[in-house]
Amino acid sequence: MTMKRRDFVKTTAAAAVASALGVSLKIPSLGAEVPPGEKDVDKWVKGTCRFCGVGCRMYLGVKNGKPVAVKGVENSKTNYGFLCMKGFLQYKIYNHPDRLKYPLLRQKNGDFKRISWDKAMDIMATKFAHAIKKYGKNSVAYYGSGQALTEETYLIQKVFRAGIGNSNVEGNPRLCMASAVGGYITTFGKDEPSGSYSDIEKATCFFLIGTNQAEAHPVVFRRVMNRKLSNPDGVKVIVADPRVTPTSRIADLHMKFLPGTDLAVMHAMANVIVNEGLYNKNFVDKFVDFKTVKNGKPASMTFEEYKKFLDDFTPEKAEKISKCPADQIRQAARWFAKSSATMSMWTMGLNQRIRGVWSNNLVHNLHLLTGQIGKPGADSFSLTGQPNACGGVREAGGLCHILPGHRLVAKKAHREQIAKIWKIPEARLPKKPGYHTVAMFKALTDGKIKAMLIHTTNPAQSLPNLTPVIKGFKRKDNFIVVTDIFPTRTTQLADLVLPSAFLFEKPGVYGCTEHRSQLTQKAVNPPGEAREEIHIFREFSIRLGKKLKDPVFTHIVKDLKTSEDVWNEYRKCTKGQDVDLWGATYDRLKKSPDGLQWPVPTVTSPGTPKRYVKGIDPLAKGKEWIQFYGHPDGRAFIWARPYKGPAEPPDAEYPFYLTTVRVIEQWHTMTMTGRVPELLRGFPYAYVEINPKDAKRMGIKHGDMIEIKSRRGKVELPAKIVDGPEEGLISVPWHDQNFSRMINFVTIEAVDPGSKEPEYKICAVKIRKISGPKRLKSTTVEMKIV
Amino acid sequence: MPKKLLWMLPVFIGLVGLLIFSYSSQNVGLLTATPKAKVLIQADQHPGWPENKAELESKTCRDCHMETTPDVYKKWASGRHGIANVRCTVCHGSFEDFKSVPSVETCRSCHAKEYDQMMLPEGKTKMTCWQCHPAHYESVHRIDKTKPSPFH
Repeated sequence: MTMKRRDFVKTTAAAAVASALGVSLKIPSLGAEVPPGEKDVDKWVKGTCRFCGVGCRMYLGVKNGKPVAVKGVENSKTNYGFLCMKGFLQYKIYNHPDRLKYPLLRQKNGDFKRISWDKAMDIMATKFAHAIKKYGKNSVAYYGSGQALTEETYLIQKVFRAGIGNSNVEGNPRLCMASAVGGYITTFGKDEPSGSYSDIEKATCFFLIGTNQAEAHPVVFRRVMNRKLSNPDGVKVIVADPRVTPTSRIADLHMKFLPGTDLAVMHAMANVIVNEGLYNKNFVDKFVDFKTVKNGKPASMTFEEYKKFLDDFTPEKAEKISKCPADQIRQAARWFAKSSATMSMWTMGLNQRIRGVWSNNLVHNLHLLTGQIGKPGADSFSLTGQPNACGGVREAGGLCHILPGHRLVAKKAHREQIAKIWKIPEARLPKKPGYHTVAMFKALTDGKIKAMLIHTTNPAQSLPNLTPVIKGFKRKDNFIVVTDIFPTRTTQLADLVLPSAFLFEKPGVYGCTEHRSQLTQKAVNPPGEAREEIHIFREFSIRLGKKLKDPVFTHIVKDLKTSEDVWNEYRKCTKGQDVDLWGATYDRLKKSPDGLQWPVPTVTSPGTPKRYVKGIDPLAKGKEWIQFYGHPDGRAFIWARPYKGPAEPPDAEYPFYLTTVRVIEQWHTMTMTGRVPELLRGFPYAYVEINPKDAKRMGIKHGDMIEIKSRRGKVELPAKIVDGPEEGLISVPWHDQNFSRMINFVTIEAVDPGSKEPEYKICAVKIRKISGPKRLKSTTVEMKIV
Repeated sequence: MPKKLLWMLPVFIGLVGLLIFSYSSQNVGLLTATPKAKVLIQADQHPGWPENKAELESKTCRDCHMETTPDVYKKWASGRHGIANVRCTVCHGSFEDFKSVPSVETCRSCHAKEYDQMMLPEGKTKMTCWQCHPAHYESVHRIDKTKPSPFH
């Protein structure tokens, strides 16, 4: 690497000063990958952090073939070298003694026995072939993950769709961002945000609703914090959340509202914007259509009709519904509309709702009304929870209704395009979506699914209302294969466990929140006999084809021997689509510090930090400066959505709202982060946050053991009395692996009718003190291997 | 740097000089590790560990340190590391690998550029970050925040 001119001038300047003062400075080589004197590391290998959807770039430091350190990639536009405590400590996961190293088969007595890969793959193919022959192709399913590599999701969905011929291809992103997909598609006609993290440094107002990004997306929060702290008066931060969280520390205004009343609050903000004349008339006239639903079908409406619709949502009326003070709603609306650039961000708070799609629409409404989109710093920007939910699952066909490249299973033209690339007859592809996640596990419980492959995820802990789900796992008449790197609640219930390679033990691409695809290179070998999943999936396809005497299974995978082969075929599927990655070759991704933002139609295309904007987005070819090309006339939709509260509001018997939350130390079901001692110290076990007023009223003290009970199940947790949740609301982190503390025994499986995403964020519970403080221990799942 | 800005270089050098001079004159001995730090490095064990393992393991750092070291807690909580949730164990480890004074390599994880490009005085092969940036405050000595730091 060469020294940049600026660095050179800087270095020279400092040296000159130093010599003038009689001190001489030693100047190390600038930017070298292993600086001299750095003895603890042999090499640094570039990749992406394994955890949340921010997509922080990092180097894994390797010494004697083992990961020993991590450091951020300083010139990466996602994180500029910064990492959170999870990213920071992830090198400790690789060599953990709990790593799964050999294929394991469940024995009759429930123990697991080590078997060979040959035997494991043969059993897997036999069981799937048997299910397909005896019960039909709809009796097998795949449940994947926003943590799998794009190459892995792409390959296995191809095996299911082109080989088996069903679309029972789902993934855990259904549980976290399906509502965001629905929101973007219905408003803009195309999925995923238009802007980038780089808008943060240009925004002068932040509207953060339903996001505790200080803990869930710490490195994005660091950028927002920096923006706020360096311009305390010039930048306004609005946090809207039923709970006061660490994110609220930088807020100018924290709007508390009752869980599930978000639609009323945001309609009321729109009401203020319209009635105070704060909307951008020019933008609305040129680029926006108003929509409603009549007789079950979308119908147009005029601005006047929309204005009249908003009459039901004056700030005072919204205050009655939501308990959010009308003055706060007015203040938020004025800041939002009047700032030079407003950026909204949200996560599970809006998505995990039975009207998550509508909540998403209403955020977009505010941006479209005020023209706070397309210009630098202004965007309606949904944050994603997993490192490859966008890239692998949303873009590469990892859900039951989509095909690779933002295509739909139900559209014949889309099926024909994919069949042509795969060189198979279109008739082989499924014509209808398969089971969505909640339906898939209900089908498992009901005995309709006989063979299932679960990849890099832990549904036996992460699904809502776990009791019936676990019953499904325990049925004797199905066969469940699970790939993972550690024992989890799901591997414990599996029939066959396949040990897989971890990130940096295989090459592959993750696509993060800001439509950015980044390559992680292989740095170390997986432990024991653990294997790269693309090799597992390829061999599965070939063996299944032999058992079913169907040559197509071999035909569709024979040229896909490496992850680069798979990526190159996937690139073909994206060519000419909005998610165009044709120009994002492995070579380019290897060289770049931070990958490429699609659309990247050619190998010389620089990528697209701002979609829909002419001159930046190569797909915006029309006359206007901004074109929402997801709709034929280039206009986005403002939706007049009716009000809808939660599926299960509190009542006399179950008087509390329960919401599930996250903490910074742990990630998801803590199968990885729970094995890092420093992170476990910060959060050894879950607790229930109770408002001091509720605690006083019920005689609950800090540390007392509390039973939380819903219509579905119960848990026992120590109380944490904190002025975080609003009165009448309790919150519980969902990470804990202990059966008596797994909050998903309590949560509800009600889903959004559009996105099919469950309402984890709200259900009704009752609580009671069962004892004083008890000494608790953290739990790490183990498996009995004989 | 564009050519037309080169005239600013002497001014810049002057400012930096002034900064270093005023800073080092206020903090004599800043560039050498204090004897106290050395003692801490040698005795790297958290008080009470491992004899009170069970009790300590049932608590987070903050549970005790808000009372036992309120100054440190307050400085941390109001500093950037506090707001950004860079918590105790990130730098100090857990009980098993506790370090009352962490290694500079810990800082490298997020501040790799600063680590790589740290300028050392003659005769020194190593300096710690907190010799200039006091621990738990994370203050940055930069006159003009729009310009890059001259020290890294």
